[in-house]
Amino acid sequence: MASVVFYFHVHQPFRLAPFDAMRIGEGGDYFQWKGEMDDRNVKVLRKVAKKCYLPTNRVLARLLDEIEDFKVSFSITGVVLEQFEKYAPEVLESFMKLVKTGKVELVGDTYHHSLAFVFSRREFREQVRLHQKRVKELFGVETKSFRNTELIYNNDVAKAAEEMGFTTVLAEGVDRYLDWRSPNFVYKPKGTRKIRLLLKNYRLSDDIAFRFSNRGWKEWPLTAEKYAKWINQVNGNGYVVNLFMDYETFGEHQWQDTGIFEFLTQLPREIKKCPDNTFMTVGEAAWNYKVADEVDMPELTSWADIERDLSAWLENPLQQSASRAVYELEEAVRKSKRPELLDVWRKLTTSDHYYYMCTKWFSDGDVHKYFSPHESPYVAYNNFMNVLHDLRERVYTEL
Amino acid sequence: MKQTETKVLMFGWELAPENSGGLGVACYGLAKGLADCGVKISFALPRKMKGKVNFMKILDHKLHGVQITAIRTRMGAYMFEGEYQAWRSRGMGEELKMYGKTLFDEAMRFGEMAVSWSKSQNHDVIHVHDWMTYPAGINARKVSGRPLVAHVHATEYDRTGGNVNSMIADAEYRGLNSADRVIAVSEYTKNVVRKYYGVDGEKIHVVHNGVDFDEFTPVVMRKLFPKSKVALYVGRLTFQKGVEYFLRAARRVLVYEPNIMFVVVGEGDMYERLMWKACELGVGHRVVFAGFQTGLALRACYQMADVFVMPSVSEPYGIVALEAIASGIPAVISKQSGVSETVENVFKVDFWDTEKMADMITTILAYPKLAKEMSRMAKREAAKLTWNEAARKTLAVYRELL
Repeated sequence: MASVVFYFHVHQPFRLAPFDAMRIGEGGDYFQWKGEMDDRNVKVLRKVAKKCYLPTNRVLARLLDEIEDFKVSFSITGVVLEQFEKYAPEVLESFMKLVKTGKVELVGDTYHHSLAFVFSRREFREQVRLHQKRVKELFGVETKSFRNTELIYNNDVAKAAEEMGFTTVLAEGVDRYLDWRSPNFVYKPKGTRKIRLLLKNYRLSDDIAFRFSNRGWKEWPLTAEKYAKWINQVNGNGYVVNLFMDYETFGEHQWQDTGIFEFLTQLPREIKKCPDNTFMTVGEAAWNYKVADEVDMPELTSWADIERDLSAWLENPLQQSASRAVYELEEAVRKSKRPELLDVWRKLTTSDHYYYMCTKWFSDGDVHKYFSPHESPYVAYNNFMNVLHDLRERVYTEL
Repeated sequence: MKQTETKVLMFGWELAPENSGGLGVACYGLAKGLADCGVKISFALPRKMKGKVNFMKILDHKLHGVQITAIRTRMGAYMFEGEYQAWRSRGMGEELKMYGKTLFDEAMRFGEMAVSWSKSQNHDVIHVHDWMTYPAGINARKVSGRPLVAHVHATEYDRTGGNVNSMIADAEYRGLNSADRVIAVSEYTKNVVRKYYGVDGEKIHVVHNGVDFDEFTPVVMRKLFPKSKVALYVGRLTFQKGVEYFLRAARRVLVYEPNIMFVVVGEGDMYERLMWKACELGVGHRVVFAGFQTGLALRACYQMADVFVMPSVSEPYGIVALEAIASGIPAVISKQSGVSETVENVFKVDFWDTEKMADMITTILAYPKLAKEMSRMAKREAAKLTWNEAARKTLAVYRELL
């Protein structure tokens, strides 16, 4: 039998509005454009709400209602929750309804979707706690499983999660560390006592998230029936099928006209045609099966790009310079004792800002560019630093 | 002939305040100075001016077709051939097909248009500024038979460090050698013109640029970094300007003075490379790329600076140094510049000697009294460098020809 674990990640950053260098020292709201109509954050959020969050939630609500053991897990970042409250409260309500079914697990995350684990353990813990608190307030549930930003993971992430009371942690099933192991078992991270590790089955996950609408792919068009067959093949070679992906896959990355919603609607039914198959949330899956082995991942890995490392955010000098400058300010921001400055600073730790500065595949006009509000990685860096210089002046004024 | 009657047909490529660099500033300042001396100028531009100029006649309407460019688009006076191609290939519309394919072609086209102008405008002297206008000058001279003065603000040698575009260098060579007189903005440039373009030294006159003090009188303005020291660079971001040496010096300065911001004002083809370099050098967190600034914003940039640095690799003149001095800012300037001939109360350094450059910057920051005295004395020197003075010298050149 195979337990299928659907885990979706929901996130939108607070993008930075253009901030001219000559405005340094004037302050202002960095994340707000002049006029709501032109506000990129509002526009993107409402667009994605309409194309993805609301329709996909409707599909899931029906599935949860119709299929008895159907379950899903979500991580919803603090920064997207804030934006839901501000710009699309109906989305928040629909997530609340899903959670109320009792068949949805909410997964812990960094509130600001940051790389804090890499730079400041203290900040990392605070952002995780902030997220836990907000989820508790809004949904009334405790998060017991943990995923770090962008599935950034190593043995130390597992240890930190364990110390914070989490019982399950998620990671990418990175080949170079899995070696002969399959991601379809439950593991224990090296150097921990009890916490359990679930690894993303990236082949099956990416078949949906990245390849679904690719007409050049030999499996196109992908039907629910075919996909369910692949899942059934896991029977006998593992217990869990960890399908981890961005929630925006549905309707935003894979548009409605690709048939992604029909696929999602059909898939659980197709899976249930094999009566041995079940659905579980991440926490259930991790504790329903025995630990198969210990996994040692000393290097920081992630679910991004082909490299599955941190190069999407921290590879080039621009990204390194910007992140260094941000964390250099941490102490001063805390000392300023101004919560609003700390809040703004934290929003600058969001990984997306560094992603926009990525030059890896810039020439190909790649996926990085699709998501970037800036015309080039350099302009993104320039604008980010202008904002940071301004914030630094504000912080120094308070000291 | 009385000087009040001198009529000049002048060809320029840009004019302040709608300029992308020092060329437009110099043309404006010199023309105004000449007008004050009673010279009647018809100034031809390859683009429509948005603003008004009251002291001379602007000839831009008939040439409207040439100017596919407005200032602040990439095709300023300083655009490199490669940049220009990239700019064009980004698809600037169908109507562009009727225009030249290269910056060089644009200059030639401007030259063709000059023929009709030289017929319609009564003039005694033709005065052209930099290579883009030399073909125009040569053509006008053919038509009217009036003497030609070629004014050198920069050469291809300065712009490229010797790795010249031969078509442009050739246009310069032809222009400079067809001219009856050559005006160089400095002794430094005179040498370049003699050495690399084979122009007879007797024919070359040096007329230093000026600065309009009124435009840079210190006024109270908001500081971008009230809590930090500021080292300022102003200029295009190109190879010629040596911004990379400024960044290298910044790394050393930060060791002694961690609370300092390095503000880089300007745009150019090295924007991305310099940004990358700043980060590589580990000074990215202290460098501000402030973009192109002009008018009041530029004035504010000077006002907030504690030290001004001009690290040029090869600088025919360097008006920005005078602007900084007029603003009361102590300056560190490259020895490889024309302006260093005209002021003594500044620190002069070889552009490549970034250790020394850093020492000079930290010295100015560490000794406010010295800084104050330097800027006071430099200001006094610069006060003599007026556009009227430049105009008088230019007029003397005209007189030799009339």
